[in-house]
This record gives sequence, structure tokens and C-alpha cells, in this order.
Amino acid sequence: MSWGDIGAGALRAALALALWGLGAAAYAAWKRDARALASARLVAIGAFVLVLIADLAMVGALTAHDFSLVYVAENNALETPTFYSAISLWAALAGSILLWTLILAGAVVWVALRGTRSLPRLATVALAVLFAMLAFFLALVVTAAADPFTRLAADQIPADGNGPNALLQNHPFMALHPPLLYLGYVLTSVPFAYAIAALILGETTDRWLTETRKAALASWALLGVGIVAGAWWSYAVLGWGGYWAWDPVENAAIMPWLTATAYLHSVMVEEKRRLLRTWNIALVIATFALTILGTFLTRSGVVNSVHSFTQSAIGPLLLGYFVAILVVGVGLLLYRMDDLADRGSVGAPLSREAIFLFQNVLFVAATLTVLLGTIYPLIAEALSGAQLSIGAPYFDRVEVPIGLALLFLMGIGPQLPWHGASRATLERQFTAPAIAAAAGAAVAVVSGMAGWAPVLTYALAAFVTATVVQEFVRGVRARHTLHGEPAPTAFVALFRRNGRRYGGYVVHLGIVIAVVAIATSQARTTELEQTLAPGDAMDVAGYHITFAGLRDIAEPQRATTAADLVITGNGASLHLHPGLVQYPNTESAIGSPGIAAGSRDDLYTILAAYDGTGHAWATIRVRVIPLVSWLWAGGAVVGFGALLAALPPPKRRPVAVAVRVADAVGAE
Amino acid sequence: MSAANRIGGRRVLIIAALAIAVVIGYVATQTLQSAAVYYLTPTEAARRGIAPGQAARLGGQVLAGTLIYDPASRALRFTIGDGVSTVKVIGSGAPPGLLREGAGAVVEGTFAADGTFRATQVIAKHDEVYTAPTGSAVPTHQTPAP
Repeated sequence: MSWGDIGAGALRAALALALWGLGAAAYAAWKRDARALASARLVAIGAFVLVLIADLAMVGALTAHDFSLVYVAENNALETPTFYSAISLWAALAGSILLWTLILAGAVVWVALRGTRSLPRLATVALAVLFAMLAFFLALVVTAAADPFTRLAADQIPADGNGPNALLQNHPFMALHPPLLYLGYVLTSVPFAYAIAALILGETTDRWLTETRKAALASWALLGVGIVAGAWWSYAVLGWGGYWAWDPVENAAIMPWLTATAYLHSVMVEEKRRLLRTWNIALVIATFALTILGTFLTRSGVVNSVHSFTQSAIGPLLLGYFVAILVVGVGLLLYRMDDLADRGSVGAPLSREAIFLFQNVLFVAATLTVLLGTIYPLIAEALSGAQLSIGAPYFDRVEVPIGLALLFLMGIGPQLPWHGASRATLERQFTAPAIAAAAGAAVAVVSGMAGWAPVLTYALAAFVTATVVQEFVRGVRARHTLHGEPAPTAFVALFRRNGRRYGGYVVHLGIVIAVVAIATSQARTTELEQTLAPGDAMDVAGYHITFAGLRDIAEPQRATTAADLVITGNGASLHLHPGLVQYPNTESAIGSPGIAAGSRDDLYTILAAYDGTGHAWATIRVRVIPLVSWLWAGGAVVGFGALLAALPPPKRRPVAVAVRVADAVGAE
Repeated sequence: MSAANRIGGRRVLIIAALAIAVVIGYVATQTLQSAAVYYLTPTEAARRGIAPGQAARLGGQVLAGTLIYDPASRALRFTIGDGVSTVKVIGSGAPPGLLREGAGAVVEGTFAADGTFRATQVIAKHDEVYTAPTGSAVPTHQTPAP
């Protein structure tokens, strides 16, 4: 039996199990039948194991260079190193869908085993919804649309394969960012399934929402970290010295992240004040639908971009799936609208719930404007036949002000009490942050930032940081007073007693770090391009860069020509080797930048062109990009904060009292 | 805290939220108009008679034998065509690694009075079809010595 036989057989069996699971779960929910539920649980495990076998079979076929499979022949070559062979599982469409299916099957198991124990009926309906989704994806991978195990006829099997897309085998980050994004995408289906289940059953409580809090948080955090990892990949691999280009595939990832961020905040309004219930379900549906829309846009080839390297018959199927999700989701929501009506309203504009409302308006506006910019070229082409593109200026001009407004609200919201604030509260909460904001603006002006946006960013970043520090200081002081804990113990205890709140502050700090890194790197990058003969040097922003010569490096899977650059100045003493890499499956070489990352700035060097006949000259482009490393650090802090926020709340009673006191002291 | 010393009211809230949405919607649609960059082929550019100085984005094929990059002055010259019309393009700086003769390119910039196109940005449109390995692994982007 070949890898292809094993994989194809496992997927077909998994599809049968998923359909069985769908029927069993639906029957179990309808008749409250325990035996049907037990069988659905078993089936969930069986389907997961089968999909896992199929994924491993694909990895096996790739690492064994089994070119009888179309996917392997197209995305692998004999010279591809084992590591890149293995991660080529997600190098193209069919394999990506296979990974996606595996994660979804994992989510099904989680709901089947854990979910149905805490909320039997609701989770059983959610389980049926998830089985339906799993069946859809399994149907994709067993039909021609995205079958990863399609074979070549015996006489067509090549001696060597085409190899992975050059851009995808040039850096180990490729192992990281797609799985993170897929995990984030797929986990949005758990809150969605529960929301649909709640609508089907006419649930008027918000149990579904507390039950899926961790899945929502996890999907949001994974999406966010995956987006930053993708930006880092783009920075380290594509050799243009940037990290974000408002490319459709980037927009596809950020849109569900924006609505998920809105949801994580508005959900607190529902928990505390039982408001915004319809809105929250709408956000859950929108987040999930946007993950599918993004997949459709980037995978169907409908939007042309550097990332849309896969085009296949999957487009119409994904579009149909997207429409089905919208019809079912919105239809059920409208049907249950009256049951979900709020029994109160958000009142005072200076209350925490009002800030959440504004924040939600801004996040949804950001999502819709990104969506508009992404699909406007399609609309224009459909209406007038004109070919056009919407460039970064549109996104920068619309999204930067929205982002700054959100940064402002990030400082205001957590400092305001629920229901409304008095003047005394405002003074107590915002005196120190306001001073910090002024100091932040001063720092920006003194350090030579030009333009209103970076200066305002610095001011708001200082403002938010001050509010967070103030919260921690007050929390630590309160614990010190109440429990006599020394400051470090009290600090750790804050997270252990109220991880959600203080983890949230850590997330906010991570965002501040990322935003400062973005503003500084965008506003203060220095670039210089020069053609140098060996021995020549150029000076950029304090760095002295000597071009020592060119050399050719031959590896089995690629040929590289690299410049040897000797870097001194700014305390540096190192060598960088920007190069151009030729893979046999691409006609032109791709850049491989030489980067010296630092906490103050990154020195980013690119070999733009060189003398191919005598190595007599090279054109070197140098970018000195301040603080850009802090963007990746900020992403890590956001992920860490989300982990803290996911810590289980304490169960012991005296602790619960202490938290409430600390809350009271901290917030009002 | 009593209701009396809270600031503002519900109406203020709704009006403010709506105002934000309207302003963002207005700015977005206005910006969309100005940020839309139309792709033109050399033939379309000739037909529409783009005035000198007007921003445009031209797409076409880099014609064989026209790509010249002078590393000393960093002047970049090539001609793009669409099978009917051709346009001479003058740029500055090393060509992007993926730019090569026979392949697609998009240039952003303005037409000069003499009919040449002064590119501020040159983007190679590499097609996504990867050819079978040929055994040769020689970079094809190399440009002749000055």
C-alpha cells in the first residue's frame, strides 16, 4: 500500500464517520438519546484519528518524495530538505485544506468529549453543526476540488518533482505562521457552532458564551500571533524591508481578528450587564464567516496577489459554503431576534460599556473598510470592466486614524466604571495618564518624529501604558494592605486571582509595544542604495558598510550569490550576507536579505543587482529600520497576555472575596 | 454614585456612535476614489491620451533586448509593450530581482512630455506558473557590466 492509498482511504472513511456523527449528534439532541451521543463521541475520535492518519500519510509521501501524487510532484523535489518537505503539507491549497480539516476534527473531539459533559444539549447541537462543517471539508478533500492524494498516471510520474514555491522554502518561519493562522481560523468555528446551537434551541441564557470563552480567546490569540508571525516572515523572506502591504491575504487574516477583538470586549458587556446579546452573536457569526470569506478570496484566485498562488475548482464551493453560513447564521439570528432583545440599555457615554460600544463601532468600521478596499477591485471590474487596485494609501489613510482612536479608547475603557463615571473618578483615573501622554508627545517631538500620526501614537502609547501601570500599582497596593503580601507576591497573585483582567492589561501592553514599533519603523526608516565595487563602502545612519566582494554558494536544492558586507559603526562589528537565491523551479532569483536585528534598530541589507560576469560590482540597498524587532516582541507579549487571561479562575472561597475587594479598590 | 453626577446621556451616546460611523464611511469612500489606481496597457494609455504629469500605472511585457541597468548612475531603462503599442520607461535604482525581459511588469509614475514614462516604482509581475526544472541554476536577473 502506498502513502496515497492510506491517505485517500482514511479520508473517505473519515467522511463516512463525519456524516454518521452528524446524524448521531442531531438525533441525540432531538431525542435526548444518550446512546446516540455516545456513538457521536466515538465517531468524533475515529474521524480525528483517520484525518490524522491522512495528514501523516501526506507528510510521509512528501518526505519520501513519492511523485506518483500530483501534490508531491508539484510541491516537492528530491533535493528538498526533509524539514521543508514535511512542512510542505501547507505549501499549497490541497495540503492546507488537509491541515485545516485536521484542526477542525480536533475541535470536534474537544466539543464531543468536554463540551457535551458541561452543557449536554447545547453542546450536542453544536457538535452536529461542527460535524456538518467537518463533512464539508472532508468532501472537499475527497473530490477533485482539493484532493491532496490525486495520482498521476504511471507513465506521467516524473523522476523529480517541481519543488515547493521558492518563497516557501527559503525560511524556517514557514513552519510557524500558516499553522498558527489555521488554528486561529478553525477555532472560530467553535464559538460559531455554539452560537448557532443556542439560536436553534432558543437559548436565552448566555451559557454558550461563557462555555466558549476560551475557544474564542484562543482563536483570537492564535490569529493575532499568526498575523505577527506572518509579518515577520514577510519581513525576513520577501526582501523589501517591510512587513505589511495590505495584501488581500493579509487583509483576509486581519478582518476576522478585528471582529474577534470586538467580540472579546463586547462579550464583557453581556456578562456584566446582559446587554448587546444579538450583537455578540452577530460578531461571532461575522468572525467565522470572514475566515471563510478570506479563504475564498485568497484561495480561489479571485484576487490576484503574490499569495494567491493556488487557483482551483475550490472557489465556487467555498463561496457556496460562505453564503450558506451567512444565510443560516443571519436567518436564525433574525428568527430569534425578539427573544434576544436587551432588557436595558447602555446609558452614560462615560461608562465602561459605552466605551466598549464605541470600540465595537470602530472595530466593525475597520473591518468593513478593509473589506471594502479588498473587494473594491472585484466590484469595479464586475461593474465597469476596469482593472484597478486599491493601494496602501487607502488603507493607511482610513485605518491609521481608526487605530489611533482605538488606542485612545484602550486607555479610557478599563479606567471607567460600569454604569457611569463621576468627575472625581475621572480626575483620579486620568491625571497621571494625561501627564504621561504629554511626556510621550514630547519624546516623539524631541526625537524628531515628523507628522501628526507618530506624535499622537507616542502620546497615546504613553497614556495607555500609564493607565496599565496605575492599575498594577493599585492592585499590588491593595493586596499588600489587605493580605500583607510583599509586592512581588502580590503582583503574581493578581494574575492568579484575576488572570482575565490582568492578562488583558498585558495584552494591551503588547499592543502598545507593537504600535510604537510600527509608528517608529514607518516614520523613521532610512534607506540608501548604492552600487559598490569590492572595497567600496557606504554610510547609512551611523553604520559603515564595506562591500568585501561576492561569492557563489551551491547547495543541492538552490544556488546562491551573496555579497559579503562588513558592518561597523553604532557599536556593531559583524558580517551580513544578503543574497539572491536561484531555485531550479523559478526562472528568476529571489532575494534573501541580510538582517542584523537589534533592540534599537535593524540593519536590513538587500543585494539588488550584481555583475554576473566578473563580480566587479554589486548594487546594495540598505534600510535602517528603528524598533522593528519590538513588533515581534509585542506580538509575543499579546500571546503571553492571552495565556494569562485564559488561566482558570480560583475556586477557593476566601480568594474570591479577595478578588472582589481588589477589584473594588482597583477600579472604583 | 448617583445618577445625577454621571456625565452625558443615552442620546449623546447614540448620536456619537452614528456620527463616527458616518464620518468613517464618508472618508473611506472618498479615499477609495482617490486611491484607486487604474491599470492601463500602453494601448489604453495611448487611446485615452494621458496628459504629461498625470499619475498612471502601466502594465505590460518587458520587451526583449530593451532592459538596461547602469549600476554607476543607477539609471534603469526598458520598454514595455502589449503587442500593439510600446512605451519607453525610465526609472532609477536597481531593477527588482524578478524583473526580466519577456516577463510582465507594472510601472507606476507619470508620462513625460516626450512620451516616455518616468517610473517612480517598478514592480515585476512574476507569473505564478512554475516551470519544470531544467537543470540550470544560473540566476537570470544578472545585468551586463557597465
